[in-house]
Amino acid sequence: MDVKWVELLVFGFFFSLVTVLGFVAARWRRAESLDHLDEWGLGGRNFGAWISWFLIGGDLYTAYTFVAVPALVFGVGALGFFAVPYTIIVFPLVFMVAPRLWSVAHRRGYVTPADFVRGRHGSSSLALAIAVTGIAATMPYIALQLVGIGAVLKTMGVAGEWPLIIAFVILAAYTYNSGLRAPALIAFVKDTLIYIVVLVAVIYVPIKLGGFGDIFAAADKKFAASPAPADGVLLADPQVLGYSSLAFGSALALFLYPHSITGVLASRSRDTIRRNMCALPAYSLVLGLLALLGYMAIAAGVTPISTNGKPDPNTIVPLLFDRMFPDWFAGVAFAAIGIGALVPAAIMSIAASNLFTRNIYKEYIKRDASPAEEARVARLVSLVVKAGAVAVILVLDPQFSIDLQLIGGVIILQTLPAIVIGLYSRVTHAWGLLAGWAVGMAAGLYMLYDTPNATTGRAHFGGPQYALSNFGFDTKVTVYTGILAIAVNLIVTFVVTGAVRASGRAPELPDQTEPRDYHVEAGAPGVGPLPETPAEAPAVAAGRP
Amino acid sequence: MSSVRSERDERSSRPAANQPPAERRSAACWLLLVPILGVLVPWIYDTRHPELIGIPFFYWYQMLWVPLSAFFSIIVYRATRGRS
Repeated sequence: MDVKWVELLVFGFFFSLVTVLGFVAARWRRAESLDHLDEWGLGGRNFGAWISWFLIGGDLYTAYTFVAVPALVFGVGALGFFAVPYTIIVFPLVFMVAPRLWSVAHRRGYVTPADFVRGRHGSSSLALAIAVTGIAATMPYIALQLVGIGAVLKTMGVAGEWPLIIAFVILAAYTYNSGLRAPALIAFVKDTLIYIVVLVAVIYVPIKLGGFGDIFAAADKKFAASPAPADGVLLADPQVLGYSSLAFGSALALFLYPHSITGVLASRSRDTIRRNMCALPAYSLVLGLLALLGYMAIAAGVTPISTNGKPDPNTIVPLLFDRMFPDWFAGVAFAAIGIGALVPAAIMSIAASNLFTRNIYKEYIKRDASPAEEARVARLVSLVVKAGAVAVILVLDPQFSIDLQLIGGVIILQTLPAIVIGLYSRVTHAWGLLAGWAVGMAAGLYMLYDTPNATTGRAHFGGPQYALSNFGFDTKVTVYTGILAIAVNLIVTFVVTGAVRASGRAPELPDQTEPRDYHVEAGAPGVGPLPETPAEAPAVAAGRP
Repeated sequence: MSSVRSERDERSSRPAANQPPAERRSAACWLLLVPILGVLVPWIYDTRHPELIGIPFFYWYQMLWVPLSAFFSIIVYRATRGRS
């Protein structure tokens, strides 16, 4: 395939622009120094409504989403549209829960979800479990962002692995330099480009293809001809429960990902978060329109690019843009996807670094680490995380990352009881939560392993849907594996909590937080952040006038 | 929520001039469940007709819930925002 120079030049222009922005970001809304994790890892905890909107939107709607969702719709039809109900559900849920997390984190100086679990449930083992789960779920997600850039580069005719490596080295450099301020600033460019491209695409492409009637007729024809039973423009009856449980479970998981929580905690106030939950659905509209591009690709007769003889469905959206748009605008569209990979990759690596620094390094390696040392460790870890992601993609089959990300969604859900129930009450004991987490993880992993995929012919890790026939029911109905695993988790959590309390031997572990911590708003009198050192905090709180 | 406010009032005899409005509890919070229920029932919307500009009902129904969910969130936001 020839290199497309006009597209590549436009892509290169935007890529250079965001590189400059990434480095300049260190001086944007400047703090006295970046030698504190609140500055490097949370952007000073001071992003207002607009910045948060771009940051969280840029964080949740990744390049992989923009490439993979239409690819799924292209491949299986209606089932791929689950991303739309999923992102509709997530914001009302977060609206209820996130302000509480923000308040308690603001007051107690928590940087990560595991910090909160440590303070609330009084167990560093449980906090370690939450931190490790978060890191394990985030790593493959970072690697998948490379798949998004890779799909774009392939379409422009750029072969080989070095462009990917260069892109990630640059990203690693400015993330190291500027912390969370870099993706926050770049998100403005990314989202502006995405909105322009999607609006143009959903108006221009259907007109060129003869309208939506023709587009869906072409999709019907394709699915009717395919031998797979699970595809179609509408859901088959046994898929309905799988569709809604996948949407619901994914929505629960999304908020628990460390990078989402990083975005939330970087906001200036509760009010900022609450307003954002009203405004963020705008991105879901974009996602829904993008999903329809999968059908447009069918109608336009796009066939995915093959690598090593295997067709890569993730190339269909770039190919559709390449075919439909003039070269210069295709370049803009590719830049939108490519930069769309950089923003979440940066935030995810920062979130993973924060978890490592706060909940592993400071907790188990060097207890007396100073704030400056925490920031230094986190910056170094962010480099390691990105190098790891590149290595995973280059050395291993990309399919492996996709499997890991599938697992990631199921395992991150297992942190829900400790975080979400914890935000409302201490009804669950840390030991119960730990037992529920362990059993939920095991059950989830086993069910994923036990899922074959008839279409691809794989015996294991065939998808996120577990057949109820495995439990002896005579039915074809499937349910999202994560929902089943979290059900097991919750049962074990409550049973073990009951047993621990009934035995009377287990201590009630200390709770560092107070009820009013969950409601404080920034700037309210007498409720500013407490001192950093967690050990001091309760004493100081008690001694306040 | 009200107990929080009273705690707060105890700590400061007069509220600071730049204090952001406290939040209020409101029955309107239940409205947040409406969009969630609206899209979690594929049984009722998994049909082709009525079509809108050639798009099957399945797709435009779900897309319609995007602005609706924002609308309900705004109602809840306004109902729970304290008077400033």
